[in-house]
Amino acid sequence: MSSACLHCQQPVPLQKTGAFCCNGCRMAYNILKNLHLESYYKRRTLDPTMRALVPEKTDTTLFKPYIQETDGEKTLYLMIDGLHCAACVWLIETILSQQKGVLHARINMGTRRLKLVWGSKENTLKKLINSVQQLGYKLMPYNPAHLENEDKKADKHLLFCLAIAGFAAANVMLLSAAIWAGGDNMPHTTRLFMQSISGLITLPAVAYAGQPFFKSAWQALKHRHLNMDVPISLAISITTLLSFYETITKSVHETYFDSALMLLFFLLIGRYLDRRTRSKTHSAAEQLLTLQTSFARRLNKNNTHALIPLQKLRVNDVILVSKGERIPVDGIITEGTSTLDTSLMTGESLPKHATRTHTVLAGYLNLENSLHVRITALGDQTVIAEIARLTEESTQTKNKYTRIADRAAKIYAPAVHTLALITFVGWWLFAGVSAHQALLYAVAVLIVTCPCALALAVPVVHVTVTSRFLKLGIILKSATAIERLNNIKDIVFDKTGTLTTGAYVLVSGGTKKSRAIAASLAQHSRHPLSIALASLYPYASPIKKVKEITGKGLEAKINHKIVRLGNAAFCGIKNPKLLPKNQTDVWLVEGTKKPVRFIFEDTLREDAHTVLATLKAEGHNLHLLSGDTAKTVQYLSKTLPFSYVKAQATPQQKHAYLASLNYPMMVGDGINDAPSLAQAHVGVTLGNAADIAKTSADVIIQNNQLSHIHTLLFLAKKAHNAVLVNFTLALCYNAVAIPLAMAGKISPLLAAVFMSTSSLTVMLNALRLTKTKIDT
Amino acid sequence: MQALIYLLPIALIMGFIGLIAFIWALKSGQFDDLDGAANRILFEEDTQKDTK
Repeated sequence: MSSACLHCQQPVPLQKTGAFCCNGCRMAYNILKNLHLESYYKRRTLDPTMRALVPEKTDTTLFKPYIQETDGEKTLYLMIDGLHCAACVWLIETILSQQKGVLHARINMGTRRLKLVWGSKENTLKKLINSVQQLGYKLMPYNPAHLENEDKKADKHLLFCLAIAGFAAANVMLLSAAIWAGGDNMPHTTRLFMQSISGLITLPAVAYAGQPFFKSAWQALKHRHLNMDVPISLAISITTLLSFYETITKSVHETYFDSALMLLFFLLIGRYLDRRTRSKTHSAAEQLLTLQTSFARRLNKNNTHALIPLQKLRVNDVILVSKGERIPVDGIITEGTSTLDTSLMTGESLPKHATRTHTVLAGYLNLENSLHVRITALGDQTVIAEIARLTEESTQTKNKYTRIADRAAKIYAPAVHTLALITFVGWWLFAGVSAHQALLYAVAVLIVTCPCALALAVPVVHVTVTSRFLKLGIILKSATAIERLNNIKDIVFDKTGTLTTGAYVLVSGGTKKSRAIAASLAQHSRHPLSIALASLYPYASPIKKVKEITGKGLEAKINHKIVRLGNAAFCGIKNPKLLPKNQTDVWLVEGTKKPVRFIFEDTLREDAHTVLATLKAEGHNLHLLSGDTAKTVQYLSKTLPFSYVKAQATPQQKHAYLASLNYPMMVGDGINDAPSLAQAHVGVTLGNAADIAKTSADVIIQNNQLSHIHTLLFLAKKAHNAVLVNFTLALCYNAVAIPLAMAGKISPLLAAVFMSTSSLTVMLNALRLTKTKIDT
Repeated sequence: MQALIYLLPIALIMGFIGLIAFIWALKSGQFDDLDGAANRILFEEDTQKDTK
């Protein structure tokens, strides 16, 4: 490789001299230089897993409906793609605020969202958007109203409760420390004074900050079952109320205000961590999917076309689908001939020829020419919506999975309640203690057994493992995925785009010169094979007047000679030698010269062989389900250790096959894999997958490394062990504390110490996971 | 011990002020973007005029 481009750091092509890979990058660099912002290049750290900053052209018409206007000020919310680091944030904000009329431009780095406000007269949308897109970032508009959902509010409320519990716990602890230190030397009135203040702080704090637990416990009781929150709520409320009662009746008894609050505080921390793991992992792509309203170009009777939202289209309307666009509806082609990339829907790696009267499905990508499509089905009625529905149904069944913590609670909660009851009855009826005193002992049991460590055990482990995964480029979308990964026996793979890269690569054929000619022709087409050819020589001199004969190839005149690039028949080749099953070819004929054959292969991912071998060696059953043709699939299955192979599988068949296995893991990337991903015990998808696949999967491997499947299983096992160790620790602690409490030997001080140490041990044990080595 | 009568409330009020400050920060969206804020401090020349 030669040097790297100054702007985007991509390698500069060999035949290009200078410091840039393309004109777009040169322009971006010059813009920054003119604005004296070159320091950006020194500051930034590029993230190799992100899209490179190569500028692309986009049209801004789609942005218009998202602009909100008030008093001559326009506001637009944008999602940014290609945000690598803090320097990018700084650069975009600076560039925008230097533009005329911009009043406010601020990026939220965590969510990659930009809020832009500008005076409508001083500047146009197009200029503003272009100023950022010229630098290589991509902008997508969105509607912020869709974002303020219930989940967010719950998150904030939890943090609120945490703050209040923290404040109250710290202050009450301070007072309690004084009471413990004072011991019996403390005058009765002083002690009472301190206890009263503690009570006054605790009562409102518990009433407010305890809500998350009280509500969930109430829900559980209403449905007549027990969860972990029932003993928690019971312990906290009984302790507080009883201590309060003790204080106002001015008896000399001990109060448990501090214990109740510490318990609440620790539990809220656990709950907050738990939530964070879940909410942090929503990818930008997923959000976009739910936020974006799409548009289509409808053809009017007078042959003009208008951009209108998809929801306003009707069946039998005719829409225009330009080259490079994804078809938004199911329909029939009424005019035009083109080639369609159907890989996301069917898994077939080579595009299909399509012309008048052919049916098309939403999700197909139009590669070559504009098409007119008469709509036959819209929105809910389309095949893709059917897939989405199947996906959703499968997701719902998966949500029924009970988490390990809840399963533990099912045994634990009744046990705790019984023990407390035994203590109360035992002391009161058999030991002859007053009912009041017996109740105090029972409460002590509830406090020390309160599953503080138990409630922290799982979330702490999950947080450490999730952040570890995040650093490796693995996004865990569902919190229970870590637990579910442990049961995996069967692993089902999709072919195109998952095991293979999904892109054709030239493996042989042609000299440097003939390749350059082929590349300059291929630039004019969006066919995958053309893209593969053109990418070899991105700066091949363009040829004018290239004719694209859809479904056959390209034709042009160079030096008065006819040059053709396309399939064998088109180039006049008869009976070409047969190729191996995973390869395909393109021919080039220049006038009377000997035809050149270029051979392409949809290559396997580099690590596919080793990863599959390792997984097999670990005792997993491997399956291959592909929508591609039988011959391509069979070729693959010969070299790889699969125990079951099926070709030409429809999304429904894949889904049914997944349902027939016990605890399968599905690895796939297309729209056609979405139902299976949702149906699988754990669905794994890759960073370059279709949006719907990302939505329905539990795990996204951002950097497309198959070896991460192994990492995933390995760390999940470690996490599972850590959870078990944590449970054991919590049980050991209970084994000591419960007999003491039942014997009436637990003082408030001892209860507080017990609780904190058990929580700390559990946390420390979980933190070990940040250092665990990953075996490969 | 009389000192406690006014020292305790003072301590509590100070704590309470801290709590109010935190709640205010939470409500005004200062916890929305933790990564951004952490990095923003490193930008040398602050050309932002409008970070209200």
